[in-house]
Amino acid sequence: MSALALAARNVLRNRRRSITTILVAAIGCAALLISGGFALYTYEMLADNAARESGHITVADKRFFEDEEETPAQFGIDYPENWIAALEHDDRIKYVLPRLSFSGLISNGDKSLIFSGLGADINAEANVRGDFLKGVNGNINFDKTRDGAPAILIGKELARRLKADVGSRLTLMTKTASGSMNAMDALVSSIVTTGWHEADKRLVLLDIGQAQRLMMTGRISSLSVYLSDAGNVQGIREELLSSGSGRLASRLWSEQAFYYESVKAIYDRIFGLLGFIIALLVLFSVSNTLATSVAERTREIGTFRALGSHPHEIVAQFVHEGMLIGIAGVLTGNLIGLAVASSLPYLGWEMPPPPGRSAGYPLLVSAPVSLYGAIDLLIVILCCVAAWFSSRKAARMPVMEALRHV
Amino acid sequence: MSRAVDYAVHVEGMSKYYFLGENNICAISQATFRIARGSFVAFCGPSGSGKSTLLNVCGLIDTFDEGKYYLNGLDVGSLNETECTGIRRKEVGFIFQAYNLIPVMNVFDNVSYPLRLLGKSKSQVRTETLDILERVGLSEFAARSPEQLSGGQRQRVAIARALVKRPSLVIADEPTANLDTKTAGMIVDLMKDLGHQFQATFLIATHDERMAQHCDRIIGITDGVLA
Ligand SMILES: Nc1ncnc2c1ncn2[C@@H]1O[C@H](COP(=O)(O)OP(=O)(O)O)[C@@H](O)[C@H]1O
Ligand SMILES: [Mg+2]
Repeated sequence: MSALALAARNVLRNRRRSITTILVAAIGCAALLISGGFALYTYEMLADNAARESGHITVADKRFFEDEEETPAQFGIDYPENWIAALEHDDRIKYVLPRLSFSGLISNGDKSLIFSGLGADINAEANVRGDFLKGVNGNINFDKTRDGAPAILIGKELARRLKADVGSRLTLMTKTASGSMNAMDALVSSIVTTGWHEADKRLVLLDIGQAQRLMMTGRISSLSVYLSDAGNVQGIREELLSSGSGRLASRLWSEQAFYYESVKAIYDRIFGLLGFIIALLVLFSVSNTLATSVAERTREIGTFRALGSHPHEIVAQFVHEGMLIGIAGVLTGNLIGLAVASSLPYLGWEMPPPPGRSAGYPLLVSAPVSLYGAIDLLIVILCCVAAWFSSRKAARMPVMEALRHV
Repeated sequence: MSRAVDYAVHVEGMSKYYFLGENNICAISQATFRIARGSFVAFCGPSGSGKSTLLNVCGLIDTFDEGKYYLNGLDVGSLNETECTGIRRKEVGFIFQAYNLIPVMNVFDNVSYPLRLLGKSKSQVRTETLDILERVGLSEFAARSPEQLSGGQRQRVAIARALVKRPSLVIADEPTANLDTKTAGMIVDLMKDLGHQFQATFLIATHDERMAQHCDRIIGITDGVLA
């Protein structure tokens, strides 16, 4: 009879108790899988969010990343049309989007508010940003002009404050690249939301050509590069910089994703602590039930010791039992975890918005093999440690004391 | 020392005390005896006289406080627990009053356990286990669970388990106390028969004079003092 077969018989000996122990391990495992999967999903979502906003790689003049501009496009670069065309031929690159950012005042005639403007290829931006740039009343279908006037998109909150709606005429005032003032009348073609409350208060989007005209410049602020596969971002970044001109610098999305980093830091702590507590609970309750069976089998332990088993061999026997309980626990736990992960998309539950956002996000959990592998290993190890912990003392007690135990 | 080797068990002035608060119980008092290799010896005395204590000490599952104990010539009083366990594993077989079979193991697995502890090969374990099962008349019961056996059969399994590794010393503490007279007689005869076949020294504790009659030698014990 192998050690594992013996362990299996002993586990089956008190079925009800073993099932309880296995369930504790299973629930602990499932709790770790679900909370860990939720944290991972949130990270993925935030990472996706950050990458959608900035692009995987942002290319700009070096000073653009380091200093504040005093006039629009002060640190801008000349519109590199040929380079963009060449990059867009590369299969690994999905989009190269030029952006021109600026700020100024927007007015409805009665009231003026600060806005933060972005000149861009609006339809392409809407395409890459997905949920992070949505029309309040349906899809964004942008035309550079509307009834002969330049068309703009404005943030939901800005629209509310200016009492503006689709078709409203608003005036944009801003400094030009040379430092003088310029103004432009524009028609609102859509009200949009980014899901960020603060951004929606200031956002004005317009075609990059119109923005250049308003700013009286031929330059752009930056290029946002979107990749087909974000995995290769570092390699492509180096190629990009060597193919561009010498003054250029680049940032990866992750180097600018401050919100992502701060949420991740908080969640890492919260879920780390939660995981630690769950692990302790599993350790203690599995130890507890195993201690009961160790106590019941003390006389047997004495018999094995009399026959010449060393204490470590007795402990090994219990550790095998702990391992089997752990394996049964993680198998059950994985089924629970996978069932939850695969049924959440059908339930359509929403999480409340994270701090700073106005839109909630779907409650989903990721189920990567690496997470399952790590958690399963942890639970099995915990069960083995629990078995070691609860059998150590009985295995070391004097043989006669164990044999006399009732 | 050299003379001690001639005996399986050689005890000189051994005492053992139990310390219970303020009361000191002297369970074995200045015991001195020698037991020849292969003999079948009964320690006979009333309940509480110290038989179990003496046998447990001789079987290296308990310690003593004074005196000397040579097992096969080896001074075992100076050994640590790990070394004692090693000697039990190779040299000592146990037969308990309550059989102490492992309920989750079938007869074969119970009996073969000591061989597996010795690290014997699978085929060796099998041959030797089947051989001893045949000698105790339980060949047909190899796959049974101990719970399916009668008291006498269980004790025969225990005898097989004690002898399967061919130990030099077998400790049997009241091996027949739970059995009816007829079965008890058969069990003693079986032990004696196998003991002689295997050249094993048997130390048996009993309070039953009739059972002691079957033995090569009877040592009386009263209140921890050997007669
Ligand atoms: N673990 C123990 N603690 C205290 N006293 C004990 C213990 N075991 C035995 N004794 C005492 O030692 C004496 C001898 O006991 P024991 O060896 O069991 O005798 P027997 O086997 O002849 O009945 C008795 O007085 C008994 O009460
Ligand atoms: Mg006794």
